[in-house]
Amino acid sequence: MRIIRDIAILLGMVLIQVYLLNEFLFFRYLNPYLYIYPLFSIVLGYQRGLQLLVAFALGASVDLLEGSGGMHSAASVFLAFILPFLYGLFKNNRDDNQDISGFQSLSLERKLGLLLIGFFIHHFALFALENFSSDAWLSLLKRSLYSSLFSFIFVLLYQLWNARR
Amino acid sequence: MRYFLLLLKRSRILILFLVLEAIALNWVVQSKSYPRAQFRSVNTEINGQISSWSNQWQSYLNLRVENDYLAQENKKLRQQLNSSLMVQNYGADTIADSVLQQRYTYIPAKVVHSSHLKANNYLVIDKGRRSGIARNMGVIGPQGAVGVVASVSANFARVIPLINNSLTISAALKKDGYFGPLKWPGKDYQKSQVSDIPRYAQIETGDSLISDGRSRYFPEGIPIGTVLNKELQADQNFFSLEIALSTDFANIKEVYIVKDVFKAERDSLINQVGP
Repeated sequence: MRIIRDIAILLGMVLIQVYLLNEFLFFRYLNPYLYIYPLFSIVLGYQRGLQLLVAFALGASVDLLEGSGGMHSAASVFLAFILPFLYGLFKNNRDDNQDISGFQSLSLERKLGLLLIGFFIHHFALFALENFSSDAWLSLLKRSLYSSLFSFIFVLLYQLWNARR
Repeated sequence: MRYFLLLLKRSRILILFLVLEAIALNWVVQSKSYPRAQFRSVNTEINGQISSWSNQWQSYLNLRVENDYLAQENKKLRQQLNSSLMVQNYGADTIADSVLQQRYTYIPAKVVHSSHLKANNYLVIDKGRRSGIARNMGVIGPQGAVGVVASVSANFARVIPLINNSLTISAALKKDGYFGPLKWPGKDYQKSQVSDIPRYAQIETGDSLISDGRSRYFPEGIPIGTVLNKELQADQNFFSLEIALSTDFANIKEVYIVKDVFKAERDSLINQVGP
């Protein structure tokens, strides 16, 4: 049952990304990439190998639908690979709630910190691959920073809304 | 051996990570290395199919703007019709004229997918090999030059637009014919850059640039853009011009593929080996 739910969430996220978020461009060049959010919220609880495979499938489906040729796959596999290390940094050992594991057990601030850094790393990898050359590092950094902040605003709103419920 | 297997087992996550990244990066490299490697036509076909579904409802949203463009183009074409020209020849003699022969034919197509904010943009159009499209054909729109066909599948074709930095075409000043390579510097999809214009050329802001007769892709005289400003290159002998592109790549729907009837004959001379 959980598998079906997870697959539905992942697929839904890909469709939202490709047909909704990619159609709207804010301030002419900002494009929020929210499809990686399930990597934090559900995939982080999976086995290590499965995490990478799911991340690859997620990125590859965005690539296929958008025709972006492997960039999203590479970036999201990279994110999935380092995400457990990041999670280790943010996890709090003392009041870890054993009933719910992983991402959901983090407090709101820790969640947001993890999301911000994770988004930045993913966006940076993505834009670096998109540029595919060694020049224009500064504009690359700037673009990744703005874009990840922009994507982050969306999850921030979602998290705050979630926390209030 | 045993130790080796243990090592393998212990680092299986790292290996899986490296394998997946290798697959993805290989994919990236393959799709970026135009024109050395052809894009896979299977990929083009799938992308085109999916985009044409999602495009059907989107095309309604832009009907008004699109109509304007078409009306303008109609106007321009109408002006070139024989009926809108005055016959200046009142003489009695007529000559059976075999001087003018059709050189270019145009195939209309619709854009089913386009990007304009990436570092490497491209378009997909809904005509392919079955409609007679081949690689390296020029693509123009109602407002001016658009790009060049990069790969073709049965029903779709992938076009490298002027706003992709792997494409260089020759652009000439309409006024006095000086020409130079047009290459997109990136960043802004409304602007591009023409370099190597001689310093003694009299250039003013607003001068228009057209496609050059030397170009392999376009007929002569297709609008490309207008000059925004000029500055001397590092070598102090040539100007580099910043230009505003005439085609609005953020809103592009109808295009024409240019088919050069004499392409084979022309290429046979260009590709000749030896003196």
